Amino acid sequence: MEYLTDINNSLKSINEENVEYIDLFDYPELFYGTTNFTTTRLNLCKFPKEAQEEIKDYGAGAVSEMKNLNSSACGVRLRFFTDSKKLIFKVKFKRRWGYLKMVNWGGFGFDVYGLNNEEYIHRTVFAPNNGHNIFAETILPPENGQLCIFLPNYNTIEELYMGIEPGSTIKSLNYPPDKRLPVLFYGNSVTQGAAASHSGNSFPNIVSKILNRDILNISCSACCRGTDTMAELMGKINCHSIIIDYTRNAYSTQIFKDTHEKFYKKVRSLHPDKKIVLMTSQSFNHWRDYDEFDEIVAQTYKNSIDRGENTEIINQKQLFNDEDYDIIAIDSTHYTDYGMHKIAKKICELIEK
Amino acid sequence: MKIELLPEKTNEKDVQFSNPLVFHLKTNSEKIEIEYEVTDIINGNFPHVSLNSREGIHLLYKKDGWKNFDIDYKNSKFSLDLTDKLNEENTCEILIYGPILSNLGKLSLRINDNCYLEQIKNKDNILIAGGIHSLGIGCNAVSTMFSTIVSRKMNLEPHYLVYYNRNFLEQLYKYFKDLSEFPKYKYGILELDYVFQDNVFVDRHLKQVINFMMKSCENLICWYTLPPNQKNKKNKIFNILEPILNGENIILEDSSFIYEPKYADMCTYSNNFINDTGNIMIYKRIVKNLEVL
Repeated sequence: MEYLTDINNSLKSINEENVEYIDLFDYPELFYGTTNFTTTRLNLCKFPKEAQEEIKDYGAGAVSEMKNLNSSACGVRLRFFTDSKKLIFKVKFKRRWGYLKMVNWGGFGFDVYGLNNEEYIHRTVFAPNNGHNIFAETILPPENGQLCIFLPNYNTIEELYMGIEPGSTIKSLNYPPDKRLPVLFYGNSVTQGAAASHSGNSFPNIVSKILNRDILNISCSACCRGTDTMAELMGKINCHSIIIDYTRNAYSTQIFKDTHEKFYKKVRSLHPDKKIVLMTSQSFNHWRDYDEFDEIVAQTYKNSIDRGENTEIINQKQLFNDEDYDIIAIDSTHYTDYGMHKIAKKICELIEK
Repeated sequence: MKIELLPEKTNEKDVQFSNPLVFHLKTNSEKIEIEYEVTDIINGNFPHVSLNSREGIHLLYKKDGWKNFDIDYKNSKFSLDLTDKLNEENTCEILIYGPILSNLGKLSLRINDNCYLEQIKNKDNILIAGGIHSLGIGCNAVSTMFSTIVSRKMNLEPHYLVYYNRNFLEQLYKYFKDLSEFPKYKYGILELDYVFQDNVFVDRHLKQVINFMMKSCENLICWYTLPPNQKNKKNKIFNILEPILNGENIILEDSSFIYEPKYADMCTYSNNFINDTGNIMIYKRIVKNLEVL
């Protein structure tokens, strides 16, 4: 990896002779997991202006997170075929310092997988060290030229260039026709991918790898509040199924009680037939409030089943043994990859049922 | 009442035991204020180690097993509310793990007046020796290092001889060869990984280090996890160890399965580094072996 002070600088330690750069923001068709389908420039922001503005009602912490993360590349994948034998990425991030409880390969990582039919073969992950936000890295594509790169879940990419051999081809790599409708995720910091060791191991991203299916992750740390605006946004998106991971970001049991079923019903009214999976809280230290939250989720689920709706529930705490609570998460909430995989497998089981 | 947990600083340069420092405590105080400082931060390229592991502390409490506190660790001074964590005897056990890539310069706890806080020393001890994997490189939290899980779950008093040095066998050799008397441990866990280690140090020191550790530890588990492209290194380890593997108190554990396709994505970053989940898998294998010994 080479660090730069200006993204237009020539590289010193990486050989860029016989390489020409393309501005990947001019190729939005190579990116999967964004919500802006008609623009000619890549736009990684998934939150409408109204959703960004209404967050001011939820406190300074939420405002700060929305400001920092509304355009994070969480759940976005760069998928393409190339016959270039070498690729150089030049990247400019918004943020240069890592987050607590995250390794940079997790929060800021470009997580590179080779694709072999429907199999994802991990090749490498790269991210800058703390204090750097402009950098370049070389990767070698696999022999078949098929790559899926999971982009950083916790940073905003401001500029992104890819160096290729002159005359080589870059083509988008679609998901199989029956797997192009995305699984839609709405949730909190965990859903956004905090604490995954590399970007591809957030549980939504693992779901996309297991099923080789498109996903759309509209999660933002501290900002999952179950608002009408977000329900309306979700209602506009044609999707395969919906995962609602709304619990802990609600301030209180009463607020959660007032908003959870209302939010679910709004989303359900806009997607009357889609499978919706409700998730209980990630709370692995017996915090009483979250037991009450879980009862509210269970009630929303029960009511939906009574109405004959296509709904499932995942009780996250019950997926793990109590004596493992100290190792499935790095704190009371944020999963290690072990926890992420277990949740992802359960989601796959339910949405494929 | 304020309690300093670190011993007074001495001028001795040789640190007998290395990071992470572990404090197992018991208190009846409903509130604890914790203040800490870190020194000697190792600067380097660590995209695979979290800030909190590098230069923070990590806390757990015991109630129906060990649980993580809900702390954001942004400050070097914070309070713990133990009100709902006290057991029926109105006490609570807590664990504090120090950082792995810096040293604790200060760790003080303030408890409520008329309350007590005592350090718990487990009856059996364990020596963890090795290099970057034993140091927790790759872990998002100190609590998910295989060694902290083993000692926490098995009620063992942990001691560390781990080095941020690719040729850690040489470091271990130097440590042991100068000992006039070997400290005694119930268990020893020796990392044999040497993806980065020069062959010459493996040839020169591996057998000697194991012999030293056998003098120190009643039972010894030598473990490695090597990717498929390092098979020759596995063979070398086996060839060196074969003559001494018949003993009842030594086990060679090959945890290379974490590099197999079924596990690699979940447990590793690459062929060089393992993550929290890799550590969890190694913990599970080590515990199985400890139960056999």
